[in-house]
Amino acid sequence: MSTLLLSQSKSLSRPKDAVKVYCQISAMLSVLIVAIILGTLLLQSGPVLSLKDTGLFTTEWNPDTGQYGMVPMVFGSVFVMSIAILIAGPLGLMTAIYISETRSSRLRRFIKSALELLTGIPSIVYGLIGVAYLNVWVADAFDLQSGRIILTAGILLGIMVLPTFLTLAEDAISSVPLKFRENAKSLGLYRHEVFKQVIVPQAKAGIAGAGLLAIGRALGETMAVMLVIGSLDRLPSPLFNPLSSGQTITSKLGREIGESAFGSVHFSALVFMSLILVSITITLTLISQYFLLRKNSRV
Amino acid sequence: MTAENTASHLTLIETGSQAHPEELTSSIQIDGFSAYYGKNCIISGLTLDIAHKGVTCLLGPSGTGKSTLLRWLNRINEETENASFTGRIKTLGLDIMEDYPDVTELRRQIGMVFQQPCVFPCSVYDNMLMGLRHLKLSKAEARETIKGSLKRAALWDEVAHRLEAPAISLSLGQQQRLCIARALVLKPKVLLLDEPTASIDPISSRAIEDLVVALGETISIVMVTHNIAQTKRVADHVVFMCDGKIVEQGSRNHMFSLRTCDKTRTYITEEFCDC
Repeated sequence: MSTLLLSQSKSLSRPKDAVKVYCQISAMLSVLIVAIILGTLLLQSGPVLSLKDTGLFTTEWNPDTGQYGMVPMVFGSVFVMSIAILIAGPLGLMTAIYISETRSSRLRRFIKSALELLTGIPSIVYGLIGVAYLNVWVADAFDLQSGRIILTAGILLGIMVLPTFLTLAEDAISSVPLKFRENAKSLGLYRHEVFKQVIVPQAKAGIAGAGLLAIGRALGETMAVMLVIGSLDRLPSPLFNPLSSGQTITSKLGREIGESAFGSVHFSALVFMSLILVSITITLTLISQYFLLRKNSRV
Repeated sequence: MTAENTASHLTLIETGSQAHPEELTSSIQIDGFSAYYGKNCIISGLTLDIAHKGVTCLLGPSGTGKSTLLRWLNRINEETENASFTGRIKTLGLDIMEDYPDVTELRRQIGMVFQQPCVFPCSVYDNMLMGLRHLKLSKAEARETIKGSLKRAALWDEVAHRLEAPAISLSLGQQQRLCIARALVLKPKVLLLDEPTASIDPISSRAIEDLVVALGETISIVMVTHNIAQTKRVADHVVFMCDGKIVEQGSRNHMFSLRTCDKTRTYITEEFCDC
């Protein structure tokens, strides 16, 4: 051990090695932070997991009677995220293709700057716009008493994640070197063929990454969703009815974490819900990485 | 009569006296061509005929508009922002702008290979197939066409057993020959080469030079190069350009003789241009 430290201290005298050690420590720290977060979530979930009859996988949430059914929140999160991605995905991808493939670089820079400004707007501002306008428009459009429903949350979240997805997808498409486009065009390929046969295979990892980040943001968004979703701890009826009120994991956490005592079963149940949220994100990441790796290895 | 017109006129007389009658027909006719990037004029008032077979080398120092000229011949330069041109270019008797409303038709007849080997991230076979898809050939027909092009590019023996291997696994020289084979698969009448050996090793360069000479016997090749020795090895016809204009052009024998103008002679002997 002492030999190792000695050799490290010797090597630190050289700036190149110091940078190397710094980078290694940074990389290890990021892994450590993820491990600490997961460990803490698991540890704090202990009380609710150790109890029987808490009904974790039911639809009944009532801390007073010791019922912590999380199914409505998990379903709400996935449902709202799906609506958001259905809105932001195709729209973002088409716009990214349009900006990167057809427009002049000056216009592209202008649109990109505007989109990057949009990503910087705090989510509460989106939430307020959702409450003030979107809420009302959706209620009018579907003739509802209140527009605080899953669909409104999905649309709002779609608008929120659109700039993130669009700018990253556009970056992925634009980063494919010009030489590939020129080579393909010189073979007499049409613009859409160049995109499909040459650009997509190279940009797909970046586009998938953009999609994952968008999903991550959609799943993790609290404030804006909390303001427009209606906060009802039950499954929609019928199940895939976007016009009913609902609840997501994050909106539930946002509403109740302040009311629960640290270390209580209620608190533990909320932490366990956040562990489920993290697990969903990690699973999605792993699935997409698996498919990307499999496709790349085929090439 | 401008300097380049005079030179062109002299060349036609010269080629006419030496060459087969078939070579009198031009594959490309350029008339009063000026190219711009924004308001910057890169080439001004260029007139040039390129023979229907053989290797024509565009020789000259960097920044004289050789690549710009080449990139306009198949209109790939219209993909570049702010690029424009005036004048007229005809390929095989057809105006590249007026007679080709669909630019892909033009590009299928005029192949192009760029300075850096650029293979697509797929197999050798799929690279070759890329330009063929629109023909809707049967698998057997496509395979035969691809085999023929790879043979023409002197690459078949090296890749026959690894057609399904990633194209990126080939050496740089092989990749560049694959790019040439990929362009040949469409059976172009003209092949444009923009410094095709600039980024590869001398041995691979010689293989490509041999290939260019062989291809020049059946199609018209226009090659941009800075390399005087290479020009001497491959060219049938040399066009010396400087400052966006043709200084002089003629057959290889003429251009490497001491009968050229001072500027050409200085460039060829000292690799220096004071344009």
